Amino acid sequence: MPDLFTHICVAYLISLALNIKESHHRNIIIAGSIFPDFWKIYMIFSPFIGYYTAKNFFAPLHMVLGVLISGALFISFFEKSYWRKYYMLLMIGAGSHLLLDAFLYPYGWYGWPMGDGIWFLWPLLNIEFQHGFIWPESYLPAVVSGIIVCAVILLRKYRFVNR
Amino acid sequence: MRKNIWLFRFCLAFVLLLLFLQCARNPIITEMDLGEHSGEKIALYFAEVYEKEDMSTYIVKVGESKVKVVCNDNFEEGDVVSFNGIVHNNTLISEKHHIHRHPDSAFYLSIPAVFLFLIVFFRVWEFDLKNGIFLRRDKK
Repeated sequence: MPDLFTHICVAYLISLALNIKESHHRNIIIAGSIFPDFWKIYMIFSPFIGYYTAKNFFAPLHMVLGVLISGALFISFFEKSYWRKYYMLLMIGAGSHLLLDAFLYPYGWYGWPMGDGIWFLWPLLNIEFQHGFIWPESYLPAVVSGIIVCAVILLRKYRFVNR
Repeated sequence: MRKNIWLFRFCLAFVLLLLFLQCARNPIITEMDLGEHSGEKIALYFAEVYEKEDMSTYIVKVGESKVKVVCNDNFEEGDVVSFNGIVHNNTLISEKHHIHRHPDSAFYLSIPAVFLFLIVFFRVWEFDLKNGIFLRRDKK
């Protein structure tokens, strides 16, 4: 993964690009952008059930099918009349997360010993995605996305003041 | 109505649990066995240098597996390195490598981001314990 800061910034920019004005809608997109990384709860369980077992057990949370199901579960904790809209927004955020992760070297799995990527489509298809575009520990995505978000916020504020 | 919602949640949680169990029973993240890849070109990501055997031979740790790597560069114990090379006699002969100076930086950058998210999220939403749903604060 790039760090969650980058994921949040990108989700915020996506919400602006989609012209989403309401803060609660924007919030759901941002929630979606960090959603797949809930699989890291394996770190809590690995001392008890073993490193590889914990990792494999929670791995579906970082895959398309797992995200679709766990996202539906999360959205069920909102008002029923908004489920469809919120689910779409959550999936936009989660999709941006998986897409960004696909540009990294395979760090998403941490101890993923070898291979070329994440099996996003497991168990439907055993295809590895990831392109080795940037190392995950790089600060560059966080710095660039942070600067863009700050600039956009300032610009919007300036335009609003001068309107 | 509320019963239906809880039933829906239970069904989703059950399906998710089945997916977890399926992945745990058919692991995709496994212990490394270099022997299976003899003669192949493979990449080894985020390996921690565990022991230095001689000038160019290292024992590295990936997950819970230990692997022998031959590389001409000089590493210290505890360094985190990614290698790309060919497996020969249960040893990875490194052709390319990358030293990770700050391997945990993504993790440390993520911690404040989580707090930032929680602050922003709960400024807009609050959890209604009675009904078990998130409600918008501005709608109250």
